[in-house]
This record gives sequence, structure tokens and C-alpha cells, in this order.
Amino acid sequence: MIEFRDVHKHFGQLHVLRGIDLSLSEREVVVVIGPSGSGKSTMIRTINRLEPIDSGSLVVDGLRVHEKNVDVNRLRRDVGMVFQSFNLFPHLTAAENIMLAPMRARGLSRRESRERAERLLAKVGIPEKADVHPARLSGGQQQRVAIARALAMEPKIMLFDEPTSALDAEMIREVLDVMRQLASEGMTMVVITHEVGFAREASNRVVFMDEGRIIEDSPTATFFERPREERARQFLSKVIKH
Amino acid sequence: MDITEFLQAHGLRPSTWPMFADPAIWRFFGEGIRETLLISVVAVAVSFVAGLLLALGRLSTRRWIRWPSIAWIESIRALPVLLLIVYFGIKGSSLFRPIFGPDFDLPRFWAGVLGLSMYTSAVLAEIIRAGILSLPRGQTEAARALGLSHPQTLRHVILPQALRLMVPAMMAQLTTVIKDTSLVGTIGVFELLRQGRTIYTQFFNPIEVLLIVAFIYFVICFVLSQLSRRLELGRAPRLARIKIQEVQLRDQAA
Ligand SMILES: Nc1ncnc2c1ncn2[C@@H]1O[C@H](COP(=O)(O)OP(=O)(O)OP(=O)(O)O)[C@@H](O)[C@H]1O
Ligand SMILES: [Mg+2]
Repeated sequence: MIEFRDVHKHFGQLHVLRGIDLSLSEREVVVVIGPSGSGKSTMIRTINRLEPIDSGSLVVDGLRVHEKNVDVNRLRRDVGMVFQSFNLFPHLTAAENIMLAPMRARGLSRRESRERAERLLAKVGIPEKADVHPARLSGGQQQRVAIARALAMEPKIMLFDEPTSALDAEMIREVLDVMRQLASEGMTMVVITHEVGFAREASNRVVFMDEGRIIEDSPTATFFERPREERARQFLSKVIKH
Repeated sequence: MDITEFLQAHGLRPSTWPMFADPAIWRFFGEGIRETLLISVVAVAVSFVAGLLLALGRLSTRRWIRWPSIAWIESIRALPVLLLIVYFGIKGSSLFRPIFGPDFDLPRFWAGVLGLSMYTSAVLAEIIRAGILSLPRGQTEAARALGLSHPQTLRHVILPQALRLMVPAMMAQLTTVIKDTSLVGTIGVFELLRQGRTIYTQFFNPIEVLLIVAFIYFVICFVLSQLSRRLELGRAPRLARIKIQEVQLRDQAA
């Protein structure tokens, strides 16, 4: 479903991705962890081409993402993304946030999109918030609307970049519950998170990144019981303590 | 010296005030006000459309669109509005003859609109660009990540927010345009100030007339600024407004 082969990327002089090799099959849930600045966000953002790459190859759902003639909008319709800062559109209500892309990028009618929005808001547990603007929602509610917005395009892959880092403890749970459910329904997911509980329960594999490289890629149980890499071990002991 | 003598010595002759009780004089001012408002509204409407295109041009990733847009905006902003107005007043007709035929005569009203709009569109372009740049990058990213194209993102996500933030700045610009319409009097458009001039050259009472004209400008602009404050309070979040100012300052510094 996703296949990185020796992917490199620079920001000016900074070598941010230093030869990423990673493959994900359908229905797999991979958690990416690693210290700040290790390139996690950059890596996940290359998958839907929010960041271009310098060399190597990246195939997503059969498309060679970084080739010139790829229809990037078509690719992105099949890859949902959820951001740390929600990025809801503040001038639109929750339902309108969800309806925008299905109407404009998939050509659904207003009525169909509205039905879809209501169904998804129910799925993420806030059916009563359809006509409320983001400013009047809590952080956890906003992030759930953002997840619903991404799901409205019926993506084959969902990318999450620290979806709960901006949230308080109670709200983290509401969001993780939605993500857990999504994982159990068989969605292919790449999730950057330091939520160990979520990683343990919902993921198949954990990828540990440091300084632009993947230095450990293990099944979840193995990773938490006996991580192979010293750096991963140190990082884990820090994260788990908190 | 009592106050009447003082006023007379300085040209304020109380004897001309009674003439302003005649409604005919006010019809005359009224025509001027109408012309001033009409030309302002048309100029701002034209400028808004042109300014939007220029702003998008300047933000384009394509060099052959961006560079000419920058050059155009910057050079027009460096010219006096009056120069542009006079230019269209003199050359406007021959400029359009290739399009509208050899007998075409550009009405002075439209020559004035063109001169004002040319300048104002360059200013509005910068205001619009600042508004667009003041939005968080995450807005564009979220829209593009959903598979919306660049034009769709602009149309449905960026512009609706940016334009809302810009309402106050646009209203301020409208006020400026209203005052600048006084310049189109020089090419023979009978706007408010020009009407005033016609009156005082007949009655030799420039001080009284100019006082009245000044008061009328003041009332129009005051009403507008009150209106824009209402809109502003109702809409743009404070934080976003500050950001617009920052972008403008950054631009000036650059
Ligand atoms: N647009 C950019 N321009 C320049 N440098 C960037 C840009 N985005 C990220 N970087 C740099 O690239 C490196 C990797 O950043 P990235 O955001 O991928 O790390 P991360 O692992 O997601 O970190 P965090 O846990 O803090 O989110 C960092 O040093 C960062 O400063
Ligand atoms: Mg990050």
C-alpha cells in the first residue's frame, strides 16, 4: 500500500530524511515514534506529497507519488490526513467542513454530502455539533471533526501527525477512541504519536526514527517488550515515565 | 476689533451665509455628492476585481506571472494618483479607439474611474495579499491534503477568510478613494469639490463654500468609518487583524 525505497530529503543544507525504507500493507497500522526533529512529520508528509522528496522512490496505492505526471489531487483524495493543530476551516460549520471536499473534489451533491457528514459526526460521537463553528468546539471535538472530514473522502489510507499532542488528557481519550475504532475496522494507518497505550493496543508495528533514519521497525509487542536498539530503549523509558 | 471685523478682514463675509438657505444651492452640492459617491463606488468595485487578480498574480508560483505582477504593483504605487487621472483625461479616448472605433470618446467620468482604479487596485492588491498571507499555513495544507485543487482552495478556504479579515482595510481604502475623487475635478468631472469651486468663483466666497464642502466630506467619511468599526467588531478576530498589520509592516521594511 505504501512503499518507501531509499527516500532522501533536504531542507536547504539540512538532510532531514536519510534513506527511508518502509513498507506498509493494506489494513496495517504503523505507529511512528522518535525524538523531536527526527523527521517524523516530514516523512509522513511525503506520503501525500505535502513535501517533495529529493531522491528514492515512494509508491502509494500503486502510484509513484513523486513523479511529475501524477495527479496529486487524485492521490490526496485517497489519503486522509489529520494534523496536530486540527486545521479546521473556521468560517465553516462542522458539517460544512466535512462536506467541502466531497462536494468539490468528488462531485457529490449537497444532500449526499450532508448525509455523509451527519453519519460521520455520529460515528465520531458528536452528531449534535453539525451546525456549530469550530471556535465553539473543544479541542477534542475539533479533532474529531477533522477526522470525520478526512474520512468523508473515503480514503484508503489515513495519516495522523501527533493528533493528540495539542489536547488535554480527557480529550485525548475521545480522539484515541475514534482512532482505535478506525484501526479495528481495517483502515490502513500511519500514526505519529507518543501515546504508548494506543500504540500497544491498536498498532501492528512500531517504527522508531532518529536523525532522519528508521533505526528500528518491529512488531508492536516486540518493540515494547525488548526493543533491539539502545536509543529506542532510552527513548521509551522517557516516554513511558511521563 | 470685534469678531465681525476680524472675520471680514480675513475674507469670511457673513453676508454670503444667507444664500445657503436656498435649496437650489443644495441641489447643486447634491449633484456633486452624487458624482463623488458614484465614482468612488465604481472605482472601488473595479479596483477590487483588478486588485484581487494582481494579488493572486503576485502570489503565483509561476515566475512569468509573479514578476510582471510585482513590477506593475510597485510601479503604479509609486505614481501620484493625479498623474494617472490626468493621463486618462488626456489620452483615454485615443487609448480605446483601437477597440471601440475611431469615433470613440472616453467619458470624463470613466477617465476618472480608470485613473483612480489603476492606483487603488495596486493598493488593494497589497491589502489582499497581506490578508491571504496572514492565514495560517495549515489552512492551505488541510485543503490540499483533502484533494482540493489550488483554485478550489483559494475559492472556498482562503479567500472567504482573507476577505473577511480585510473588511476594515478596504473600508479605509474606500475613504481614501472618496477624498481622492476631488482630483478628478481637474479633468472636468463635476464632483463635490468641483461643484464648490463653481459656486465660490461665482459668489467670491471660497471660505464659506470650502467649509461646507469640508464638512460634507467629513460626514461621509465619518459615517463610513463608524460603519467599518461595526463590521470589524462583528467579524475579524483581533489576533488575525494584528497579523495583517504585521505583514504590512514587514513589507514596508523589505
Ligand atoms: N519547512 C521546513 N523548512 C526547513 N526546515 C524544516 C521544515 N520542516 C521541518 N524542518 C526541519 O526538519 C527537521 C525534521 O522536522 P520534522 O518536523 O520532520 O521532525 P519531527 O520528527 O516531526 O519533530 P517533532 O516531534 O518536533 O514534530 C527539523 O530539524 C526541522 O527543523
Ligand atoms: Mg512533527
